[in-house]
Amino acid sequence: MKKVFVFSLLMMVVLSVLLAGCSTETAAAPDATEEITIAVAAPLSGDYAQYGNAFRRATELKAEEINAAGGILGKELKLTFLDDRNDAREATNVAQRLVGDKKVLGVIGHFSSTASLAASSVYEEGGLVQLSPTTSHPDFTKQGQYMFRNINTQAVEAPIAADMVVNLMDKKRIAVIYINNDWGITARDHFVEAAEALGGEIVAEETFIGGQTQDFTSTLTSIHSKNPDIIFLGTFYAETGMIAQQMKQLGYDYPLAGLSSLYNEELIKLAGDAVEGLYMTSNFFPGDERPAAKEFVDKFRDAHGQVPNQFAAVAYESLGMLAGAIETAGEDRAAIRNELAKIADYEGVTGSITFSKDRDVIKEMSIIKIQNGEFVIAQ
Amino acid sequence: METTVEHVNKKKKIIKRRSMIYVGVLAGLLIIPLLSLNNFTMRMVIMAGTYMILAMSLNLITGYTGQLSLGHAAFYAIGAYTSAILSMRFGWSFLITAPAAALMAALVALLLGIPTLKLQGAYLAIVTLGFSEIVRIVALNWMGLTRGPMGIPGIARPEVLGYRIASNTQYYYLILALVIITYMSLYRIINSRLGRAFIAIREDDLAAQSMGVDILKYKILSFTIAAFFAGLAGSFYAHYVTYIDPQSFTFNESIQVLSMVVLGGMGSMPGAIIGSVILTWAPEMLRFLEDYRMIMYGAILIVMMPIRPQGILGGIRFKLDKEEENQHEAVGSE
Repeated sequence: MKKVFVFSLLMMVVLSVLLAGCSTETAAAPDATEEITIAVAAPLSGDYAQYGNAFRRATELKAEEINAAGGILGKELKLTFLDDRNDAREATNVAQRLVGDKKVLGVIGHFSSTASLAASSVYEEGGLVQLSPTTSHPDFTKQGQYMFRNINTQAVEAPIAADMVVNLMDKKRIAVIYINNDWGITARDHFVEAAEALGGEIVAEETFIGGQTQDFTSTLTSIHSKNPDIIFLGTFYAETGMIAQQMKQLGYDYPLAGLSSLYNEELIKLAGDAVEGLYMTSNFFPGDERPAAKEFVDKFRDAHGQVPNQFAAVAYESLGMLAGAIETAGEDRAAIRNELAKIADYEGVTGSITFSKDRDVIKEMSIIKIQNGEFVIAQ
Repeated sequence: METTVEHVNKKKKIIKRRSMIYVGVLAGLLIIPLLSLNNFTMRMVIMAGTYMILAMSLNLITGYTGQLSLGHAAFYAIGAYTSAILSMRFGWSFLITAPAAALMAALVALLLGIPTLKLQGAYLAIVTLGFSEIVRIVALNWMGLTRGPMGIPGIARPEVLGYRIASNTQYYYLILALVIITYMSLYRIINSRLGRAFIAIREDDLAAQSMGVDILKYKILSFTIAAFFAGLAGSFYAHYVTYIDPQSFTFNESIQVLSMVVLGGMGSMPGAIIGSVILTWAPEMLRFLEDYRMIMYGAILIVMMPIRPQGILGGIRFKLDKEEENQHEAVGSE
């Protein structure tokens, strides 16, 4: 009998929590004509929370700025944050929730290609702008008319990297290591194509599964046997640290080059000397002298006590563009989409931004390298 | 001693009451979309439906046959990929891709089951766990077939008898039909000679064997049938979300489904249904807790286990089922 009692008590608690969830939702629905709501959908918990938090910090900073300058259309900008845990199914749930909430005029998100692509059909159907600061999957903006991205696809970045390797660094025999995910594969495809067109020769190609492979010695030995001039890395910073260190341990001394994904202070902490002299392309560099970038870096450092990374930078300017589009278009989702598509030469913190007719961006990139344990501009 | 006439009358009465309940529940389910629920609620109901199929099918292996499987996501993935690939490459409609997906998952389960179901307990759990990783890694690396990590975007929305399914209401009726098919099939199986063999294996496999139950054969059957329905769920998922990639079918997904079965009550069909509804809704309903959301989610499971280890509906026999069983026993003793 006691058990039954405890059980029913528990069920009541669970039910009341669930119902409380419902009621807060519906209670918040009406009375908000004095606000403009933009949603930020990102992984705020789980393995990818650091990226979601970069989104959150940067967009909060931008929203403060916008509100200090009088808001949008004279109304206060309110951000609402939704956690998708970087999970495809949860991202579609979030998307459906946002599409159904008529107050939400646009969405900054999601972080990864999995989440963004799964959610895109819902946003498209609901006619709500989905501006992803980071999704580089080539198919993303092909999912519909409401998908925008604020990051160079590998179709833009990898050829710049190829030019960097073949011309700037003057290395012709190239070995490629790339991560086996959508990003790594497209990076590899575009890099190889561009490098060969520029007169480079791809002598070896190796791939690995991100987050699982820890030991790269066999990969490196096999590359060593091909005698390349350089190793090009289509990888993220965590694996790059391991690759660089294991290469040193094996006694090889190949120059390294990579993409903007490597730009992270952690890389130097992880690999130290082993990554000295590594060249990479970069979307965003905190040492950038342009006023827009400088201002952003200073403000971010004041607010959070650390230097922003590129994920924060692209999220920051994404919100700026979306807010600008709402200012011109008014509170109408379709009009906002059309205004956003017209954006050209927006002065963002990563440089000038123009949406192509496919709602992709083409941004300038700088080349940086690691020198004396610091990232410095190489060109 | 009751007479045969009384007995038959009583039996008829049970059947009548049972069918009244069914008609009532069905009528309730059919009018859900007419309550003009918003699209978000409808989506949650549809996702809960998908998980019901997964949880009910896993319940057949784990709840009724007593074999712990940690690889249900593998069959879910096989179903989703089979369906997506057939639909994208050959333009086949959902009415063909869905059964094909289910059959494919069942075939793979059969081939996996023959050598591995001789294993028991933790060993089987590890094998199924490993298998689900293999499926994910194959999906990740077989670029030519699955497009690997690029995933398959733009999967066609289902068309059933020339009727294109696009809105959430239409998807609702489709998943409702699939849930009913799954429920009825599994219900019939569990209450048949087959089902009693499964339960005998769960209760005591040695005793079952000595009574002439071919354990291996029935375990393989249970495994294959469960995979069939998991494949069906995968097919629906692919055509509903219209984008799949290997990230959507990780080990977490298997654990999620297993949690639903355990929470609802192992060996209880209504339990699996309730478990999937609660665990599909909880993360969304708890969203107002923000950062503490997933902690609360875990806490529900933790608190549940010591208080009610058999799950919410585990071990509860409904009045009608009891009466029907008594009837069977009465027939047996005559």
